[in-house]
Amino acid sequence: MSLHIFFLMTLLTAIAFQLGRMRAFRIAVRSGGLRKLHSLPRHYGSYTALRFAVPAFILAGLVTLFADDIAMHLVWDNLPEQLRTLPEEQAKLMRQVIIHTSGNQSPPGNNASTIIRAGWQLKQLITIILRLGWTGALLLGTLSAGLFLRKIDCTLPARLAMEKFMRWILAACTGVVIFTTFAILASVAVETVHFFQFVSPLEFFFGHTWSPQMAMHTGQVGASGHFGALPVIGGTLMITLIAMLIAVPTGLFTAIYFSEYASSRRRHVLKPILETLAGIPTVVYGFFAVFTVGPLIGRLGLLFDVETSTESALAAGVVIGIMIIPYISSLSDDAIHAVPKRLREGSRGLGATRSETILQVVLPAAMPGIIGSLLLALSRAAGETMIVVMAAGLAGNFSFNPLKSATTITVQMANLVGGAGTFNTPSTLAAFALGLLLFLFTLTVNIIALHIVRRYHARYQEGM
Amino acid sequence: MDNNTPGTSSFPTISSAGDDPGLEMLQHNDRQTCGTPFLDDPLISCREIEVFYGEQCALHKMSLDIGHREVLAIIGPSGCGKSTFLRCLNRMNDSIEECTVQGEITLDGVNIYDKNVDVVPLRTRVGMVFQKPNPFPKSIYDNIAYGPRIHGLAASRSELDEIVTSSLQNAGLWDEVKDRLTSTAMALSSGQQQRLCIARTLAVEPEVILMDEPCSGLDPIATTKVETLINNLSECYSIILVTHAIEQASRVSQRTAFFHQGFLVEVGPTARIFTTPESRLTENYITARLT
Repeated sequence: MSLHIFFLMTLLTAIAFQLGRMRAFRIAVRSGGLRKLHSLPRHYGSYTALRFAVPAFILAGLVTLFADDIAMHLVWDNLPEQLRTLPEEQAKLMRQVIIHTSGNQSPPGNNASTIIRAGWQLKQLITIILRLGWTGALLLGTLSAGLFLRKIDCTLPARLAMEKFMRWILAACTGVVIFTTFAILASVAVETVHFFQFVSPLEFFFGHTWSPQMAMHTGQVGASGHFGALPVIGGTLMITLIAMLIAVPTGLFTAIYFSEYASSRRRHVLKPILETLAGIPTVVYGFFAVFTVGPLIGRLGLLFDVETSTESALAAGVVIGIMIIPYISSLSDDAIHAVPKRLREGSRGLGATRSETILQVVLPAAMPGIIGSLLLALSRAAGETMIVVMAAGLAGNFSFNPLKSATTITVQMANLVGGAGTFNTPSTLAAFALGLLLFLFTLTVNIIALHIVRRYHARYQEGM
Repeated sequence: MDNNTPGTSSFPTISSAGDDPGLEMLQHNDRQTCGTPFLDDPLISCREIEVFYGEQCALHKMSLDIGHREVLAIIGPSGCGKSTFLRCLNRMNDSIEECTVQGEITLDGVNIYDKNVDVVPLRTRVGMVFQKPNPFPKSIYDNIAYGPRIHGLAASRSELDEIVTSSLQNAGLWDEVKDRLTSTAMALSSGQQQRLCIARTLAVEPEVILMDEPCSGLDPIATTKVETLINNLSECYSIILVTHAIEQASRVSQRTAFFHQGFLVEVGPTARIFTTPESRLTENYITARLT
């Protein structure tokens, strides 16, 4: 049904376009040629179409979105007194039941219960509201487009209006993105505040025990609920650090090899191969960590007589490092490649060797792009979940021994929220606090990197 | 400027000369160079050199001497092999894939294409200034100090300061930048940038300076400054100047060589080339350009 309305409105939009265009043509002919018009006929057409589409689609969309709620509201107000005054929990359940019964195909009999009748009412009401709304939307659009059609004359600046509209729509899209960001942030922050009503921030930030299992029933053993985030933060930092230690040199050297030493044919063949590394699902990397890297570390541990465990931060870090190599190598390669060739020639012409040229001229010039690639890799490493779950385990250890099991922020978040129906226990709310923490971590890194890049620009790239 | 093939950047190609006058005059037996390519006591001497980009011949067999402390101007239409020839002299063509150089180029009697020759000392002796100013994204001071630092020419900071100061003075840029040596070189005007690049080249104390159309992107005033600089520098250095502007060749050079379609057509004292050229090709090119 609503799909039909959608197509109908699209069709009407197209018709509005044609009408506007034709009217502009007619006016042009009447007043002596297209040049007499302020704008081109298609501008008038587009604007007429917009005049129809914008109000019609907005109204129809709103009606479709809120019809259920409005109808429920009306139905609820007609219920007997004792049902309306139920406590909130039960009222919620009651509304669910009503919605469920509204799926009935046939009207209820005379002796049907209030609930079933309410369900039927709801169904009827929704249909009526939708029809009314959609009709209203069509009427409103037609009215708006019609008024505009009458207004079209030689001097109407449709082109400028279109430009204004384009600008408006671009700004609106940007606004949506910004709004979403802040909305996510706000919701996370609110839940975090909620969380801190259960657990003191002092314990969260400085506590060194992380065991978020809460007692479901009084007297349950072994589920005390400790929310000291230090082991989780430490695990995240350690695994990210290991990953970056692996990935930064390898990725950067690969990028330098690709852009400075490899022949263009070799580059074209090898680069896509490396980039497929980025396309491998992280679960597969997890297997790699568990079945290859983990045992390897174990064997090395035996060799050097060091105690190791099957789950270790090192294995996870190494594998995450391998996973993010293509981010660094590919993006850095692009950045290095974009350094003008004349800079290289200038340096080589002064008798600098290839490596001197790379170290002293090319890399500094490519630094903003390289830092960008490192940032992306860092956030990927800090946010990685699956590999850590498989290779480093779930238990948070307050130690910086990379050979022991470790856990990260995202792993704990997935662990806490996974399967949870409600968000009002400390253990699920803790996920939000952790999320905010991770966000603040990446934000800090981003700000620092931005600062470095700006300083580079200010010092070197001015006027380039 | 040479016609650059997209993608391979400075990769001079041989384009058809189009409406260039006298193209049809060039017959096979005309491939002898007119004028006087040889000198008694040359600093650089090129013998029978030939350059290929892949299968394509960019420079046909040619011989030419370059003397001590002279300015040799190289003129010719786009894609005639001027830049290719210039880049042979300090082996800048090495970095271009598929470029092969045959023949012999000697600097003080040593073949620079000998496989035992290291390009690093060669390029300190034969410096190069490029068509577009290419200062490094560093401070003015670091730009000049780049070469001396790499080659360890200065034992102390004060010696390095000395080199930077004198190079800037010799390039006629000192008075304009002495107060802002630590600010970025990218903020200089393009004329200043080009003189900075010349100063950078001077800082490694070369014997020969190759200049590849150094004024093509500059305004007339900046051009005059660079030309004056070339005149002054010719007292101490051999300069080989590729130029589009043949007036510039007549103003600053002692000898002029005319290239056409990969051939060295004529070479001789600048005054003679401009007044009584032997080759019809040279004459056509010069008169077409001057009138």
